[in-house]
Amino acid sequence: MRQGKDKLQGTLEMLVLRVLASSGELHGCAISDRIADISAEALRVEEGSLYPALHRMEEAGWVTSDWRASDNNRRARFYSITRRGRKRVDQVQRDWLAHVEAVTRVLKQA
Amino acid sequence: MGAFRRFASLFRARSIERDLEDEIRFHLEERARRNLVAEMDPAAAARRARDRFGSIDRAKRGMRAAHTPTAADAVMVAMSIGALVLATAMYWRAATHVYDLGPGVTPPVPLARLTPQYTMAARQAKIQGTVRVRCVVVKSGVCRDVTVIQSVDPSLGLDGAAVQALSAWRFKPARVEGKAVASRVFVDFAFALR
Repeated sequence: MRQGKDKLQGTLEMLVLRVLASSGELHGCAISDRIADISAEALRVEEGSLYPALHRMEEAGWVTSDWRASDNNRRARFYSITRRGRKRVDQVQRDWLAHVEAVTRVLKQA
Repeated sequence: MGAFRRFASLFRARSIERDLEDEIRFHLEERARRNLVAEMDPAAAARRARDRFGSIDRAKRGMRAAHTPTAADAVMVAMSIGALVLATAMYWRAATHVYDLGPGVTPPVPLARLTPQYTMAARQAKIQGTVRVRCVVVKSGVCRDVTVIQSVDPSLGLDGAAVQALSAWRFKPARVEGKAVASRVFVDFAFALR
């Protein structure tokens, strides 16, 4: 069970890092929208679980955050990816794709 | 490094708490605003924002946990501090160690010597003999802790003259593996009447 939860968390972190890598600075709400858009609403997590993930990634040094005014002039926390975050997402994405490819091969042959 | 950051977080618990409250509030308002754009009525927009967020308490707990140091962080920080103290102590010991002359130590070389002068009282008392003086030649080549080891006559001034003379000497410092070090040096001053 524990492993399943970790895997899900890892997936969320990978998606967040990917979005930040391509979109620059975003607040949590925009990150959530971006993930939902790209995945055609297939991946829609409880938005509340996004924030612990963001804070963990900040502690890990993969993202940094900055309080600034949002486009409607409210104080918002904007996240951006760090160099270490980029390295991390590249690595995780490679592992993920290799995993998917291996599983797909098995499914096709069985 | 994560461990140190999380430890530092202990000292800004209040601002972390305020920030996570603000962040969640902003999110719910921003989500409701985006729902409004999608032509929901305001009450429905706010409700949908809350539903989509899930448990606020769980989110807060998760955010706090991200900044809370773990036992591994405590071990990491304690070990780093220990290593720093040890390294400082070793450096300090190496930097202040006084070497005795022997194998592996290139002895200091006197560059400027001063010969002690007889005092009037010692000359009149016809005192003769050798005063042995010890000092530490530090890295800059000057003498510190100049001490009489073997005296001729403490009351008539020859000991003092010897100490004064050696204090004025300058040395090329002793070397260990090519590096200047402090060393212990003994000098004999012979006082003889002609």
